[in-house]
Amino acid sequence: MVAIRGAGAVPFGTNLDPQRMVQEAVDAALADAGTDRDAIEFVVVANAAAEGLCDLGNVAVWTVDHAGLTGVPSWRVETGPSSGLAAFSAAAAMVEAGRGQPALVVGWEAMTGVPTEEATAVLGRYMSQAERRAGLSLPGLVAMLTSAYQARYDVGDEALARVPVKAHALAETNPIAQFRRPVTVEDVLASRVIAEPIRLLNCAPLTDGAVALVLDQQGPVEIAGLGAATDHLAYASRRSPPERFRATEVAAARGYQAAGWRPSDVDVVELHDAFSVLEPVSLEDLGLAEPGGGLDLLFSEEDPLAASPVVNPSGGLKARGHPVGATGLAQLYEVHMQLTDRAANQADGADKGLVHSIGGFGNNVHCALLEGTT
Amino acid sequence: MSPADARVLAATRPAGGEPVALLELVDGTRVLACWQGSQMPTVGDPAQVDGSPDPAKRAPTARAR
Repeated sequence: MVAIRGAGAVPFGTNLDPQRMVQEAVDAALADAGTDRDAIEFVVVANAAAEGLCDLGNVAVWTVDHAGLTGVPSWRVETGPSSGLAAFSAAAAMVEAGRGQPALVVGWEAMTGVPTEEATAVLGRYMSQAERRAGLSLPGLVAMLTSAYQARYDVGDEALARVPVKAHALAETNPIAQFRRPVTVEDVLASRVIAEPIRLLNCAPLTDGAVALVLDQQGPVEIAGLGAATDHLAYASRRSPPERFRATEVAAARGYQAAGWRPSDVDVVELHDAFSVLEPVSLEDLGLAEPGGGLDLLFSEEDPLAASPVVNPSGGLKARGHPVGATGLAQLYEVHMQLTDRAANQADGADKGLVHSIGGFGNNVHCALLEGTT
Repeated sequence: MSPADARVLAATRPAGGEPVALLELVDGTRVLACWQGSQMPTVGDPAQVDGSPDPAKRAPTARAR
């Protein structure tokens, strides 16, 4: 068995110093786990784009050096925006295989030190060249999926605008959230168009942030199952309905099978809401809602913490923030806090949690199923 | 390639850019195409693809049928 023994994160924001945020996240995780640097036997680093965003290479060594862990063996995992959860999965497999324990997983990304256009271009490398030649960016691809979802289920812009409103409301009380202020449906609909039909406030922000987790053979939150799947890189090469992500369906099925769970067992989920439509779509792809029923589930209760399951109590990528290489670990951090009854937006009686992270446009999806042991 | 019948599966118009559509040809092949027209195409509408859908070349163009 592999477990999360402790977790730490820095408050997300803009113009943060990478070295300092890595140090602080590692300090917090080690303190939470009740251990110290000398005990760590290996480190897995999650970072998606330091070469393009920070002009840095050899990122694993850079990270362990600045984390005060020089000498400890380290690896870097990069699967785009699912890098954090992929690194966690790799580290868990290494602990299970007896490579050593405790181990540290550190994820970080500094995205706001370059102009937005430059960051967008770096993230655009996650797409196929044909899509880039057609003039699309990642938001453009998601806008296409949004149009398909809206047409398939007769969903209007106003209904989708409620998703970021919920995210911001939850993030108000999350001490590590980037946006701790509310927005309204009117704000969302009045924000500028990025790619029809999605607008600025339908999109997660560029974020600086770092998160660290200590893995061991015992801890307060155990890994019940892991699942992952890829799909064709290009949207046009896929055969699934255009409003679905087949990779999420397969990754979730593998995770449920590994854990011996059904979707109805999940109490709380942190899913990859990089854009508004991805919250209902992912709920449906994860089997947590019927096809077309994601929005109904999200707004089934006036208090989002009373929904079953509770969805993105952190405020999600939209409002907690989306430092791409660290995002999967931020989601794990939130579920770890939920399952140890320490979350800012605590879901009553949460015992089983699901983390879902997408590595690009519906690709390289990873899922982790976690269970509290106390 | 002669013009091919298709239908619109998904579409967008990036800010400051031209509309782009994901189309499905009658044989089930999917093609990403630059849309000829200023309005964003409607999902489900019939379309006509011009030019080659070879992904190694520039994106083909398409229009309403």
